[in-house]
Amino acid sequence: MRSATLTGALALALLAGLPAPAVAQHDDATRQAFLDQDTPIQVLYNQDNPSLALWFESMKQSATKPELPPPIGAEVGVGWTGVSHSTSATDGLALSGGSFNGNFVIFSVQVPFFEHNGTRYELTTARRTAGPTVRLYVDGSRRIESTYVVPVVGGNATITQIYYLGNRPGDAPGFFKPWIRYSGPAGTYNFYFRFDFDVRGSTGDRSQDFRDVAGRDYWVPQPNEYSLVSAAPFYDDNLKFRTWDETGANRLNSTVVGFAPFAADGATFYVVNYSGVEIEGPPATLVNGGVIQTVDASVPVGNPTIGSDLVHWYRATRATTSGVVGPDIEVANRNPRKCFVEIDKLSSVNFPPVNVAHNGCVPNPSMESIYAPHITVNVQRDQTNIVDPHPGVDFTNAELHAMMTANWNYRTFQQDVGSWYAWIGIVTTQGGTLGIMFDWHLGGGSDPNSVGREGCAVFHDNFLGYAEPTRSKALLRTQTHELGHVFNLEHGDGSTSGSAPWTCTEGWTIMNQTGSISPFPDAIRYFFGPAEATKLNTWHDPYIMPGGVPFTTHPVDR
Amino acid sequence: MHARNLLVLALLAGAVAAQGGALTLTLTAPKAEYALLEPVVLDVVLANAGKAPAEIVDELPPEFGIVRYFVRPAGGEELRFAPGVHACGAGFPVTLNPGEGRAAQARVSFASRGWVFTEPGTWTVRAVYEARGTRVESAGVAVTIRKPATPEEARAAELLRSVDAGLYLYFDGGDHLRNGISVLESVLREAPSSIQAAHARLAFGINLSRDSYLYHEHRARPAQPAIAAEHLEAALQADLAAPTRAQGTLALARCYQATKRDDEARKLLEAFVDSEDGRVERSAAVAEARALLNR
Repeated sequence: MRSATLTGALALALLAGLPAPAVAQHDDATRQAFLDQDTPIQVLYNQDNPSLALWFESMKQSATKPELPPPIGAEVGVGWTGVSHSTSATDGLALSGGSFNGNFVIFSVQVPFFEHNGTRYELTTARRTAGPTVRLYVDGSRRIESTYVVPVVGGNATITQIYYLGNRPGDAPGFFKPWIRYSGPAGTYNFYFRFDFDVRGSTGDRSQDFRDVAGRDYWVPQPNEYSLVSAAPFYDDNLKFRTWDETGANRLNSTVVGFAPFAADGATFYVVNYSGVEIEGPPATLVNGGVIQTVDASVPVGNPTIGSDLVHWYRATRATTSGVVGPDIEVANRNPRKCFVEIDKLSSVNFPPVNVAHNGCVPNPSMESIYAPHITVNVQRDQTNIVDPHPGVDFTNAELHAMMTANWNYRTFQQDVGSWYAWIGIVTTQGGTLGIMFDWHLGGGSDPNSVGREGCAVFHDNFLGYAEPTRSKALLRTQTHELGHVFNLEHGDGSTSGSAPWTCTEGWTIMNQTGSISPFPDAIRYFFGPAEATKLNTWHDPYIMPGGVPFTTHPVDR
Repeated sequence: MHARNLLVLALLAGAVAAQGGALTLTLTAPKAEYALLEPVVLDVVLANAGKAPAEIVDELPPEFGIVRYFVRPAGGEELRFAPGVHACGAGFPVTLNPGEGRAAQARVSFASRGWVFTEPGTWTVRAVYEARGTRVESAGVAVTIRKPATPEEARAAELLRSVDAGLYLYFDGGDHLRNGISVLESVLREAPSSIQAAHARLAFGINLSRDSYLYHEHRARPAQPAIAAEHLEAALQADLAAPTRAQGTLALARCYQATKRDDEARKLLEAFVDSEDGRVERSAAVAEARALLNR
């Protein structure tokens, strides 16, 4: 029988909205299914064609994804252009590169060796039996594969390096999965993944490691620093680090790597300082029970291939005879967070406008443009004719909950790797309330997925007292504001700047309450301010993504 | 969920208040003790005890976030109450003249992660109002959860551990919450005389008192005021807390009116107004009762 104390503690955890213990959500089968889900449509390169020793192609996304609006004040990060991936025929090395704020940055990954029962085996060209092969898949992704057969004690180990390079619509440039598929004799395997990140040249790199979501620490950006990444949202636990060029006057070359470790039996993250340059950051215990260690001037094996003073190593340990292991990485992207937003409406109301003309803003502000510096919002205005059982009569929360759970058609639709999902309902009225958000974390039951911050509603009729264009401005603002709550933003995050005559970039930001904005609507500012942007840009995924931590939970609360 | 304008005419019996400049924030637990997993609704009053008008934001229930609520078990750590619904009001300032107050109700027994008062004992709830540069804290109010007094009360509490049932009670309905409905029906069958059963009947009655649409089944569900009235009449026989009783009384009156039982509606409403008029916490309910009487 559960003791009263334990039950009480559980109740307190429930009350506080504390997160459940982190549980890795991917297993071997899930990863294998991911690897097996597509059939390649074209082999771009293989070892039989040495003339393609270096395969290099700019990402589609660079050409098809429009550049985001220019920076607004100091709130918006700097941009990446020309992101590309490549591989080498000789050493199983995969590279990502691109220009970051005008400076070329390159990032490489390889698995140069592994250990079996304490003995180190190098993955040399002589041991490679297949690949490297680069295959293009129908979804636009590339996979680079090389297979090695290595005699170890007890038999042969077959090791396949698989570098998945995201290039699908919505994938972040630099979305990267360096995985190992292995099989071999029984024993303990340690796979060493080597990451080399060169900012504006091969020297002068510095690095800082952040604690993970369960590590109770997070990055507070310094002036002119920007978080540019989110790690794969499938994981409850992830690690981020940033690397910058210390010669940069104001760290504008700073970038961030999101690092989501696969649920290995153990994982260790190393920062290796090859040239004695100071390494910043708090070494700490984290990552699925592993530790971050600072290894000073102690090179495990394999000098930097590209030539760098600073290298990160990730060691994944498995004690099974076969499986898939390795981290997911996102790197080199200014705006990687993305959310598919389904908007449904009652038959008796209209959708809020797609955009509005306001204070000379160019282009007209829209929900997409407001979120663009922080989260790529992909809006799908879906159902237009949901039954209104009682036009003009208040909706109860029970009815709204039923409406949401019956109509979120795209919730289980796989938009693209890493995309979040949120639902917005446009309904009539509920007293004087302008909008609501559901935040149930009930752990099962009739709430279909027990996912908090999963949807919101806007009460359209409560804006009918406004004449146009104020009504449209207010509706668009409230819709954007409610989605902000879904992303865990609070009213207190709002800010204000400027004074009359109001311009596009002055006024009260999105998360302020309507009643704070004066004069309304002239002083609406269709942007997020510093506090809002800091959360959206830098907080770890679970604190922002729909379905993450309960509303108002802060990293420092944990 | 909005609080309404009213005059603070009387001292709040059993209430505890704290001063925040000229404003006071008062929480009241309307019952001396509650059964385990009986819904708890507190009265909250923000009043101007000063001599000058004050600007406030009249959004006092926990769902609006203007007033944050904190819960602490005896000897335990205080934690913020996290509601499962976050509501956005306009946040427009309203003027509170000296002697005036605003009242609302706070449902604090079911949070975003489920039931709050999960163990018998004395819990403490306090609240903090913070808006437009003004911060007011209430004193803590005791919420006493008694050990099950009868086997039925114990059985009802056992059944109500279901989060589905808790969600249905919090929502005062929800035709789509089939598991919750099933659990509450079990409470009616297995613990019919428990106070928790009265709350189940109250929620069933309120839910059936109005039209709805079953979105998962793509069909309308018309109000069933006669059946709703039976549930509500039974519920009001029990020892419900005052805010809950007010809610049930108004719902029952609407059912009477919908079924042409106007005399019964009038008597019910008049008795309610007579007993509650002048009480700051019930001012909104009294105003609604008067509106129903004038139909």
